[in-house]
Amino acid sequence: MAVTANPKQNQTKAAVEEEAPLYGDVLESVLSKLHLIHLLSACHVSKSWNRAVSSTLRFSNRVKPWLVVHSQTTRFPYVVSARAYDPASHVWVDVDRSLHHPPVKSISTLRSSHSTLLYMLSPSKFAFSLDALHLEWSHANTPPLVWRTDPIVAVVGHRVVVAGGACDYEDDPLAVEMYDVKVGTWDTCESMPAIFKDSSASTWLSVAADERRMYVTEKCSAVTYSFDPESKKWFGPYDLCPNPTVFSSVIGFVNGRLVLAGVVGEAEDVKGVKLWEVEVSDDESLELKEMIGDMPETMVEKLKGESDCKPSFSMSYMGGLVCFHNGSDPSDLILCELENGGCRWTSIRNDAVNDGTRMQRMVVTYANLGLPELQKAVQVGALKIL
Amino acid sequence: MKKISVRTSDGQEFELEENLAMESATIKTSLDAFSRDDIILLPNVNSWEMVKIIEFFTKVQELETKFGVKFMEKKEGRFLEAFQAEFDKDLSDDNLYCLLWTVDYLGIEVLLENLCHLMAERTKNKTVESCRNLFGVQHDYTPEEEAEIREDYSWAFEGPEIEE
Repeated sequence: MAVTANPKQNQTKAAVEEEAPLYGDVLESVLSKLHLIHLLSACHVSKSWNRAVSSTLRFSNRVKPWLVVHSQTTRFPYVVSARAYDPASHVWVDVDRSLHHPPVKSISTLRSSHSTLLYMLSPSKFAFSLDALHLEWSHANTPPLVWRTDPIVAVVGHRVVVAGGACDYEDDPLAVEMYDVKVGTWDTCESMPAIFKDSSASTWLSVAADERRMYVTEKCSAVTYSFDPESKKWFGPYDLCPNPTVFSSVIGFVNGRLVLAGVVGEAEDVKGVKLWEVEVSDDESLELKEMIGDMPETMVEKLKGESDCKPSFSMSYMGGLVCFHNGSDPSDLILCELENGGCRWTSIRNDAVNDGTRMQRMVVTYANLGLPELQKAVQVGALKIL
Repeated sequence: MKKISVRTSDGQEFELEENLAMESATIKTSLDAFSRDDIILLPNVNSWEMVKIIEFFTKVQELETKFGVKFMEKKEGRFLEAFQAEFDKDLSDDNLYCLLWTVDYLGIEVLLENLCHLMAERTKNKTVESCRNLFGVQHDYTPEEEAEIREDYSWAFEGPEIEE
């Protein structure tokens, strides 16, 4: 029996509201369909909505670390622009840092050794940034004692370690210094192992760090050392080369474990990218363990890109997420999510690449943007989401 | 298939297909308690809502046949997209709000899921005031708390209102 009827006068929303406003399970069900970036206003509708938002976020994996792609012009004043990507909602957003002055003008190149650090170094200044969107920069009271052009830099706990990359006229190209952020002073440490003599610049080395140690891997040989800031000493060498087919390796931390990504083939003919787990023993020695990931062929091709230049692969990581990009052609970003013992690979177009930025220097970092960080970023105008 | 008779709050009677009736936890409970020949009274459901619910359910069945899978087993995006494409533009915010409430009362999971999605789409990126209007929410902040929120999160109160 089909009956067509219009809503009756008394069955309006107001009448329903008097009985019971949208509450509890239904509200949570609605809010749980939205990604974090769409919930920023919902938090402030009322106290019960605020609780509902927190509740829906607690038991979901809808909050993931954001990717941030920083592009820097290669001419003075070396302006840096950035675009951020939310893997949960697949949305790209501009990061506007125009209210935050660039930390070091003149020749400084924006660099990153590991995924949460950005730094700039000139003969007279050293500046670094650790917050999620790199809106806040800290300046070391004095620059490093040794003049360096291309050192490796890592944050280990409350210290910033700067190693190698010294200028030719310096006595010791392998000099290592450490900046204590709490005290504001530099300290000299044991120099880098001699094996790094011809490769002490960041171009040849891959760096990873956790709260206690810095790990340095020579990309072409996969020979790895660890550095302990407490004793200021180096430990190793550890040979982490998986097999002779791997010609270049980079390291990083995924889900709290040290991981090595090996590029298979040769520079002119990259055949694949695989991931291996590295075990850190109680005595701090390192050993390569089993392979945990293998990049699909189609994505290897995208990563190689179309540039005639030799590829220059970098790996950024946070939590269980990894991002690979090729400095020679960053048009595609290859993402990997490690979960439940397996790898899920996806590729995305790098939205930060356009005709204006194509030839610029690009650095990729990861940012943990939970609700409070997102709210603050939008409030200060750094992220334009609404 | 047997038909189940229901009567809405405004006295209209509907004959529902048994499979639709059994999707409603509320109706199913009544049927278990009483005979299937009785008419089930639904005092919280208006006739126009019943018409829409039958329309919605018919569409879901059509989609399940088309895609060859039950929606509640695999909540695929294409179901939600097809449902949204069919019904979203003709549903006012007020009507969607009433229907959401009614479908929740009737306990029809598959429709609740789809309507929650429609509602979620309308909630996206709205300002705080727009959300409050859309859902008819009175905030429970003290004047001081409200003032503080308006200052700390001013961006959440600016921007375009809902477009009708």
